Amino acid sequence: MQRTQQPIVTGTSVLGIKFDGGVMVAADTLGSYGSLARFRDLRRVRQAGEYTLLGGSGDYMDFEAMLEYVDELLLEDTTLDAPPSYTPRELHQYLARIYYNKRSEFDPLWNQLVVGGVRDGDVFLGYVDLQGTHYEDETVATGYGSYIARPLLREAYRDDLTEAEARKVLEDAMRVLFYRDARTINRIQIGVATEAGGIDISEPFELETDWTVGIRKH
Amino acid sequence: MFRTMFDSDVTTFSPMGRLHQIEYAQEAVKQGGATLGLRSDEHVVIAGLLRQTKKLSGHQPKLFVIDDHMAVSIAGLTADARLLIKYMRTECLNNKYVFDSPLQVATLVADLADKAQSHTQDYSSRPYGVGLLVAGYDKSGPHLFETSPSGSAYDFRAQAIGARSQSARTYLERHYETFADASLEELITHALTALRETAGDTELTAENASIMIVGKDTPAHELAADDIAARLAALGGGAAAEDDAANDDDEGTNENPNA
Amino acid sequence: MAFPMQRELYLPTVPTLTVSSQMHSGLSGPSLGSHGPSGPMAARLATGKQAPVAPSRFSAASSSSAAVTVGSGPKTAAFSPYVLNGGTALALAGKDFCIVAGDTRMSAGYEIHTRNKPKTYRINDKCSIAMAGMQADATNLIKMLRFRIAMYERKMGKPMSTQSLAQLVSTTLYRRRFFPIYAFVVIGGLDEDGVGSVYGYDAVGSFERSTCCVQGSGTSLLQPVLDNQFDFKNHSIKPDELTLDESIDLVKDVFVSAGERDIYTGDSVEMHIITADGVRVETFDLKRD
Repeated sequence: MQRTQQPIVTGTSVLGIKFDGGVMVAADTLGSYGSLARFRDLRRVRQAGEYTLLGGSGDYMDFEAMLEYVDELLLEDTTLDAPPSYTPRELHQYLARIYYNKRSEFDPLWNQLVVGGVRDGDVFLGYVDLQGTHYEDETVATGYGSYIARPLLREAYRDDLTEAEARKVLEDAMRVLFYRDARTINRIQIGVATEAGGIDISEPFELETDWTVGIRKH
Repeated sequence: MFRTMFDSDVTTFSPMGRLHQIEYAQEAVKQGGATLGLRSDEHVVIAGLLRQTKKLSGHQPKLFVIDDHMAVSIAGLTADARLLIKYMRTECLNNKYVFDSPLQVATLVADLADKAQSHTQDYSSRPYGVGLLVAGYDKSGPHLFETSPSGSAYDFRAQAIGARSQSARTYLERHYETFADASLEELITHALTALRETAGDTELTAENASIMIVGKDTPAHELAADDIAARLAALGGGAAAEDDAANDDDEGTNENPNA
Repeated sequence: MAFPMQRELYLPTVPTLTVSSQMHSGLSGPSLGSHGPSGPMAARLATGKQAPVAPSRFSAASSSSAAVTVGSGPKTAAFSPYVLNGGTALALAGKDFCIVAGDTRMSAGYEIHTRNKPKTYRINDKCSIAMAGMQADATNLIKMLRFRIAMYERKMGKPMSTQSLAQLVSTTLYRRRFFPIYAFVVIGGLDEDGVGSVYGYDAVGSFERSTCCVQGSGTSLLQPVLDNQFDFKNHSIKPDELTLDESIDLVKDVFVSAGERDIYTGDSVEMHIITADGVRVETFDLKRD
């Protein structure tokens, strides 16, 4: 059986941050084939079930395969009196088990994932990667974002961050990544999860950029 | 003694559309010692009347903790129950392993019912000879389920199964409307009173009565013998007070190996 | 494929891969024997196309060993199943107490994943486990252990003793002798006489009981200091044994020092203080640099 021993079509950084009452996840829509900017409209911020946002970097097909596993799980979740379905926290743990088991078979799903969502007042944001490493935190970033954007997110984070402030933080961080990471595109999506509003993933939109020589701050 | 042409295996329907082997398995549940359960909006209490299979033996346990949030009581073949209990414990631990959270009671009961059902459609297997009352508390609140050898499972506010359980059911039906708001103490008192209905001539004591509690902020645990003794003393009166309830089945004999 | 090559493959530091297909299919999930996850849950876990039923590794190696060599393709990267997440864990045993402590930083290379991931796990009123090394392996190990411990407690009707746990951890680690669990375990607790006891392990299950053991990235800094200051090794005149409060202060001191010199130790420390009264959890902050 052929296994993923290296990623093929890849997505770059995914960023996530909590705010007061919810979480927000951002990623661009580029699918790179090595250094070739191959696909311009790969959606890497997705929804799993009614409550969970999933953002994925790394191999795009593995990301899609993972989404199928999760859909399969959620489909099975039909029981006697239909108990509430899996929480974001439970799905995060489930994905960590899947990714750990796949790595233990030497058949990794080559992704770094951001898992976010709100359920019963529990605002959750977590990370899972191809080795099965997982944790939860107030901010999360994958790929180059973990070096370039994570410090910006950590600095900006407060308990009482509003949704609008969080959006600004993520857009600014995505802009910095667009300036510095060669595997990015100036076309991003932002997904928001709140208790009241459920999941809302934006259509891709373009960030304003300024390439004027000499005044670039980042 | 009931033998018909259509009961030699579990997969053959009688012309009346019945599966006799399954009904016989359900009879094993009816022959088992009585057990009952009831729930409020915060707690579930299950109680069982323990049997002494031999004069010199101890009382056979019939209430078991599955996980911190779940317990069962059994009526019927104890040996079959042990298998199901191990299955339930393993499933709960698996859920903890995979999702880091307690398994939903309804999910496990559905899986358990499927497991029982698979034994009603296979020529070479026999149905489980045990009925369970599953008590649990999860994120959707307190639950009390009954499962049976036929593969069916029902959600209850209160239920009693096993020998002479009709009298307990009569008691529970008479009072169930008050259970939702009842305190844990009241639930236990109701459980013991109902259990006493099933004891017949036998006096209910701390030795032959067993009680388990699970609920909000209350991990599944057995009530200590001292507590039961104290509550029985507070209840006063020896044998069943209300004897008008109809007994719908035979008396369980002391030699019966079923719990 | 010959055995020595396989063994080399599973060493944590292996830089590139030559993988024979199907070789590892048996190693998925918690290898718990008959007590392990089975039934519907296990089916859900086996996400792949093939069931996780394993031939023995040695017979599998001979079946289909078409080697896949890594290196071509648009983006070259070799997969390593191992990653070192750093951090320090330790345990100290006194006459009637035990302290188990670990920092809460989780790193990968020069990146701090999170500042708040404790390495200490409470098992029961009498013992706790701490682990450093690879977080994913460590988490999986503690999950397998909790599974086995719960089964034991339901079956035996009593909590597992520290001594039994020590043996269980060893056999669990050794089961994966040829694909080691990259976690460095230290157990601290009270033994059946109420005396503090510490067990330290290597990745494949070798262990010994001692009174003071450090694991993880701060080992080379802290172990000699504790040998000297807690066990009074090489002192010609032995001072009195440290009291509980003195020991707690010593733990704080050595973690602060490790935080100064080891980039993988920092942020905060979670400490389990185990006495006859049970387990008390204390935390204190370290520098976040």
